[in-house]
Amino acid sequence: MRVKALALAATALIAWALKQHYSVARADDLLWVLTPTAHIVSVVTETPFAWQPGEGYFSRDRLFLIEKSCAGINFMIAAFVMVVLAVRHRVKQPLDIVRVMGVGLLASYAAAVCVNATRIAIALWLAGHPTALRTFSAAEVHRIEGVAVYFAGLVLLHELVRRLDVRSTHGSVV
Amino acid sequence: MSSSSATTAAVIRRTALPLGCYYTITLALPMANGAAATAAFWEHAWTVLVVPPVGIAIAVVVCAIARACVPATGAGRCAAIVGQHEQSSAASCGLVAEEAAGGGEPAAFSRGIACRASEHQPHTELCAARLADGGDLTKGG
Repeated sequence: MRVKALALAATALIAWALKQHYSVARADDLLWVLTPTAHIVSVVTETPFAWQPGEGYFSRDRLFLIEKSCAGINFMIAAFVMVVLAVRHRVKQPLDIVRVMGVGLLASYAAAVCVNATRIAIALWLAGHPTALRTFSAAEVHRIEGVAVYFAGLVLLHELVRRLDVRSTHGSVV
Repeated sequence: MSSSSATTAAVIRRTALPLGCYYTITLALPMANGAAATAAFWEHAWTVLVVPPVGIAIAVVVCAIARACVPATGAGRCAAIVGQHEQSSAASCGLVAEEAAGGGEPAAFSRGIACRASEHQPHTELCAARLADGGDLTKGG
């Protein structure tokens, strides 16, 4: 019980630290997440992005900027907390806390990069097809698309973690 | 519990944790930090509040339609059984697999669905095999 409480405290501390880092960070401080995201978007959409110091990754062709608010840090924090909560039953001794935190950080980082790249790729497509949804403004479409992709990403990540957790608990049988 | 309400409950159960985490990080924390005083926050907040429940509702409807469209066919019955089976018998299947590993023979569970220790067949294949044999899958899970 005490170990589980410690794990939850560590989770809250890491989430708070990430949130603090994000609140004061400039685009240059978020290269660790912006760079892989921009590279994946470049490959998927065949759109070149160039780094603009202090701004983010910019596409001259599409007039699209991947900046600080596009980094997906809030998604990463939500994913981290969710993964830790999903596998918290595995924490039985202090060393398990380190393992669960490590898995949570790795999974949330990978998910943040992939889901965010997907979101931006879809946003680029929507920007190129402005007549697709006439009811909403471009900003509203961008916002709705972002929330939908982030939430779907969280649900998919949760399902993946749940299945892997069951599989590893019961051998290779799910 | 009816089929549709079971589907609804399953979808809600599967999305509760992601939704809770998402709302906490995108709504509760900014509100705690005083963001609620700004118009920009509420412009974003309504989207965050509305879109995920709408997505969940769409998922429930799609699942219900899918079940309604194929209930009489083997595929529909099979999907329903696999869903129940995944929930309830992963542990028992593991036990059966262990027994099979000890005995060297595939052990039977769920009335004819075999679970091999070395190569656990996907449920869909098992269902397909049972359907090909003309077995009654409603008793399988």
